[in-house]
Amino acid sequence: MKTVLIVDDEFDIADALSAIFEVEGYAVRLCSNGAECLKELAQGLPDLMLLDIMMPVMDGLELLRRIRGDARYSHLPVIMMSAVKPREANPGWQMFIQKPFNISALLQGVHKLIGSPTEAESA
Amino acid sequence: MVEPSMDLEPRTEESRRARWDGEGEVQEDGVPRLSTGIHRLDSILCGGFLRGGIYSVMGPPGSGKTLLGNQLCFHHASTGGRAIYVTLLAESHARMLLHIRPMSFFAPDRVGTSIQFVNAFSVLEQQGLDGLQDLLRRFIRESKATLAVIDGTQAVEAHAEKPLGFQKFLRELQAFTGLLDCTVLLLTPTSPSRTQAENTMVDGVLELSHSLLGPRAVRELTVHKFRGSESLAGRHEMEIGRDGMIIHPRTEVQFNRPPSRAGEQRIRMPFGIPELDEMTHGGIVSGSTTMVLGPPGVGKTILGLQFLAHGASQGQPGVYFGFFETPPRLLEKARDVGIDLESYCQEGLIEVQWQPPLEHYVDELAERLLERIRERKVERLRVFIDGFAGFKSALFYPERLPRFFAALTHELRNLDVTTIFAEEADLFRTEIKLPDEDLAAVVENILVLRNVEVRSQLHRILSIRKMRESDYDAAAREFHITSRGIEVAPSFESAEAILSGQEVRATRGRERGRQASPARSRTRKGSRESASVRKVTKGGRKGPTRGVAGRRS
Repeated sequence: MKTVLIVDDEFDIADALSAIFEVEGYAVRLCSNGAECLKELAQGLPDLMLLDIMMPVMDGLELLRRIRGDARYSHLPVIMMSAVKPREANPGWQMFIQKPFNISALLQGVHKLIGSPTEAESA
Repeated sequence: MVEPSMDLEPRTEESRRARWDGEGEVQEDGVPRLSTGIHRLDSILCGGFLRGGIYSVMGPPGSGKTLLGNQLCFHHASTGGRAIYVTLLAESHARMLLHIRPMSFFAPDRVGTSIQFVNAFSVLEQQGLDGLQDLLRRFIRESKATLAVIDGTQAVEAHAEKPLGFQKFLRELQAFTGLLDCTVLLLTPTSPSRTQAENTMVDGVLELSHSLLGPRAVRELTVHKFRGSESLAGRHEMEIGRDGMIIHPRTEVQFNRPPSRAGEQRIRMPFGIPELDEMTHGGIVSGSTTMVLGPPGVGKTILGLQFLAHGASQGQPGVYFGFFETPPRLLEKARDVGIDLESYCQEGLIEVQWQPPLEHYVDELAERLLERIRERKVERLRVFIDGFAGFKSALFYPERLPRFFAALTHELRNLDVTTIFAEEADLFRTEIKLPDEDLAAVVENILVLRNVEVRSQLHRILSIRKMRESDYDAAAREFHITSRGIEVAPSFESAEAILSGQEVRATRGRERGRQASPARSRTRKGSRESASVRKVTKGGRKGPTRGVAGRRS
């Protein structure tokens, strides 16, 4: 089963996303900021990360820069989500989705990046 | 395995279509909306509910909340959407469906297919708010619902174990349904003991109310809150019938835009009564509103009919919008004074719209008139409203009258309609008093018809009290109602004699050919010789005539 790591300080959104991904068949892990996420990554790698931008302690952009700068995590596909698209250059996300978004569009993006929950990763 | 970046805009057209390919979607200002399908509610909400939003609909028992929820579901399903109706009440779905079955929007084939009905009361009772949340999430997701109605939301609050449990439940529901692009309606009863805590959290609050105003039942809808969009403020009249809920937005908040037509396009619209047309310098100005004020029986209806008939004889269409004369009686009345109204009606030049003597909603009357005018799509339309008392009697709140009237006439001007409306004056008073100063200020023209009794003889007198943007002859004239309609005396002399109480010699309009023309010219404003007439005509000139293409009949 493929795992999605959701990093969002808005618990209700993270919880709702979690419920939807679980119904789709993905395993879900939750973090509420960038610092917490870095600790969580040390416990095991997810198949995809879903990052909010505006978060306390460490925001999503800073987290993404650190991920891309760390050889252990640089290959992880990342979907960035925020109400406003940042003006600065993309530090390495594969997909940006603007809030409020339609879950179908997000799921389509996830399928495109990592395939279905049980689909084996192509070599 | 990292792939090139891609961006997804929020709720794109494509993404929306992926979930719901319905026809009920409307957009205003680029914001996706959910059409309610309820007559005029979309207008009040400036396009409908914002999709994915959560809205509270509150009102006392019997105010129509359940009907509104069901009507929305059936409309949504009819446009290709899917809906769920969740009840948290003791009432069974079978009973509820029994009650809405006679409604025209009810479609039995939708029940259990595109509309799912669930009674979640037992889940709430046994598993609390978490159990209900799980049920709702699962149900919305599995049924692919894009509309969810939760009836009896107060039960959730009542079952909350913690003080903020209800708010937490709503927040979680909001987050979930927002992601699924599912619009939610929370139906709750209003009661003095409840604070309606949900209203601070939801995207919008609608209140349904019903009360008695004297013997009349009054239903109203008010939008108290509507995040992210404009809405028509205030209370709007509402009725419930076989077609479900029908809402009549307040006229005065609907039509507040400035006139779009320029004055240069205006022409004169004569009555077809030579002396009156002379007094008005060729007729009233197109796109204007004229109040014909007079006591019952003085001839207001006949004057209005002549105005319509003369227009029709020139190919200008007309609408009679009346309250008191039934169509057969009206045709007969017209025939008696030589107006072939029936032929004009048959040719489609004049349309008679009779409002039966029922309880009306004033905004519904305005809608009916304006919609018909728009449907006809004709230029230089003449409208005669016989009489305005019909609108007044439909008003629940009399203080609305000036603004209502101003808005209605404003829109009629926007539509380039030349309107005459009959307004009642006291039958037993010789002096005519304006029934409402505010109405008089709004109209461009005021014609006064009155009865004057001299030595046991009743005489009819006509005068112009106001003509905005036009010169006019302000001297009073005697007039008669004959088999050829209204005939106005060619000069002020007989009127002067009547008003001064002198011996009166009939100066009937039919004799006008025998009248000396100098008398007529003497009555023209600015060249009068009689002191008494001068007094009557003082202040007659009200504005410039420039820009009005004068056209004498």
